[in-house]
Amino acid sequence: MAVAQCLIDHGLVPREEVKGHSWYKNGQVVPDATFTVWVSGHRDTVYAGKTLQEWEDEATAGWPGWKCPL
Amino acid sequence: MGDFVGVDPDNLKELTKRLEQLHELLARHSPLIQQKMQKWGSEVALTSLPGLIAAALDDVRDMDARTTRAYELAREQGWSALGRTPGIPGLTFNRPPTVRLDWEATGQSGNQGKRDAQALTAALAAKNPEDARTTLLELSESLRRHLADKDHQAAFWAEAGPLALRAARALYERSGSTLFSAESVSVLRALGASLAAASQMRVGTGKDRRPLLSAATRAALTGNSDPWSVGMLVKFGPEGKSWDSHLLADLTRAMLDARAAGKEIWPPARGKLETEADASRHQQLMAEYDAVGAVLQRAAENGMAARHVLGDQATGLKYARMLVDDSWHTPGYDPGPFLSSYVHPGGTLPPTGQMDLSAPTAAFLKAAVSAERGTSADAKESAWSVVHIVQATAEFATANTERVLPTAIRASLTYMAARYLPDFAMSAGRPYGSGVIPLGNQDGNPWVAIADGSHLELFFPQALRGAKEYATFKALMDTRVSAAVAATVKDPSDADYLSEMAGLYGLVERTQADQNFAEHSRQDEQAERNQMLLAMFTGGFGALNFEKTWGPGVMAQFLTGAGAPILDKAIDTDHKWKALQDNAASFRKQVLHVELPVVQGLIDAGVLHPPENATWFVNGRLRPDASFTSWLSRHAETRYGGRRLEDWIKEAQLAMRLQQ
Repeated sequence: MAVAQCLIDHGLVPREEVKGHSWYKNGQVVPDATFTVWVSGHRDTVYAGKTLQEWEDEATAGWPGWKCPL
Repeated sequence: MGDFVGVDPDNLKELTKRLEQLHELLARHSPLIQQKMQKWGSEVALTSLPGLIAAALDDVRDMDARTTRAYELAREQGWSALGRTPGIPGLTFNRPPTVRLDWEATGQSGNQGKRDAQALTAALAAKNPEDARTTLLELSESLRRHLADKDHQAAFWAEAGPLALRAARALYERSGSTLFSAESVSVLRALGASLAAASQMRVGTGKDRRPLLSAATRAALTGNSDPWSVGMLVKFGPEGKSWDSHLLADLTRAMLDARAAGKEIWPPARGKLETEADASRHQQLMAEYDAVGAVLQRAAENGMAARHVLGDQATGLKYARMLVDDSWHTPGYDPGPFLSSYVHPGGTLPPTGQMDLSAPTAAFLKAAVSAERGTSADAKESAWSVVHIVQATAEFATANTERVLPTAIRASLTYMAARYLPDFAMSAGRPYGSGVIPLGNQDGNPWVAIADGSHLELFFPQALRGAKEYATFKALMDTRVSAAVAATVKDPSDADYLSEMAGLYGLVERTQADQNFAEHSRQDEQAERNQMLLAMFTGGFGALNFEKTWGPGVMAQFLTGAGAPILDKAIDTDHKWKALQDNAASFRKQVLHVELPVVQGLIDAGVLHPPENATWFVNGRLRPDASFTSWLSRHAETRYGGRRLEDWIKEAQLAMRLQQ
């Protein structure tokens, strides 16, 4: 969730792609079941050289101190 | 109306009987008649024959109604079948007098329905058991004859509805070894069959089309004034598929609500329970005539009824909470009164003698998640049932940390997890809420059940108990690896079903470690997994037909996970393979576990083509041998579906949690 927020904030995930999703409200990621499906469909998508899964793994390993590095 | 004719009741009865025989004969032989006439090139048009036969049955019913009315009129005129004739000792049979009958009005079977309703009223109120018995048998016969007759059904249930729903309580025997006499069973069966048939009937056309059973009758059914009696009609009624799914769903909700509200759902106690044997016998009676269980069982047989209940977005969770519970047994009894005062000086003891009733509950849960995977409304309800059951299980686990669900219910939970494995894999580690969404969130794709990741963490420790259950479940996951590989290649999005499987494996492994079973070594588990894996690979699980492009059909196939066997069937009988199994443990470990499903998945996805002369690929199935091992080592670096074979295998090893 924090990763998705970080990637969206820095324009790595195109706005058009997240617009209209029930989990994206006023610029904030508010996760729900459709967020799960979105994450699942982008597991291997590469953002700034790393797949979404790699981003997630890093964030999980560094939690709770992880900060958006972008 | 008003078309009065004079009839002799006995002659009318004889005529009706002959008409009925004629109809039966025609109905029985009509297929043969049609077949023979066609064979002989007959020019007689026989297409209308079935219609004529159906019309004949209507005539039989009409005549039957008229006969009944004729005898009734004769009785009203003072006639009695048995009487005394001067000069002759004892009783003699009297012929009824000729009566005048309104031919048209009595010819409608609705009248027979009304009369059957009156017969039921009379039988239930009868002081003389012998009279009641005769009436009940005639009533069963009439109900049976009019099962498919809308007029009769509508008239009978409108008139007798409330009474029929209390029939079981009026009919049960106050003493003796059985709860119901043979006549009572026959009438309960007939009432159940009639209700089931009526539940499926609709009247009116277009906008006016509505159920034949009136709103009042349906309200009485679910109104809970006597849930036990209603349950008995369902118990003695026909198999679940013969009922309307919505009526069964309403009945299920009503029963569960009555049970939750503490209403009387058990058969009546007959007299004081004097001895412990009496008390124990009463528990058995409760189990045998369990009304809630009877309705759950029929709804499970129906399938869709169970999904209507648990798949309802507003109320499904409430009922899932009631079902996923450890209270599915008879209440038991206080043994105190049966103990000597020396052993037990007084006070209430914990109940004993409870009988397990979890089987119908488990069957219901299973049916609720058993719709065919896909895009249908039924598939959607099934997915919502999954979401609700997972949440209810998580809540049970949180509220009762020490309690374990009954084995039968846990088996249904495991069945559900296996049936929705890709959905669970997608949900694992993602605590973002639950819902039912089309795959990829694209309209027109099959429905998937998204469970909240935190619920799944609580679900598995309740569903799986003991090393054997874990081994079975993991072996089942192993068999889905090839489908996960193929789907990952085929799905044009960046989904990675194989690594999602790895996430679910991790969750299951953690759960198992927490439960800390000492009775099984890791080695034993591996041996069991090997055995099950081999059986599943050769027995028809795993490989799918992924030839077509990634669309709803292929997705549904992937989600379902059933397909052709991965391994060539010959392998079971192949002597060489057996020798390999016995001797080369290391080969088996290497080949059987990871490479097989990966290679099969890549072949299914159409990205790996085995060489023409491969000895290890026969009839589209794998038949591993020594040359397969050498082929593998030569192609470790080759790229298939965007990844090197070695990487696929590594990821699969991760997914299957195998250290090599």
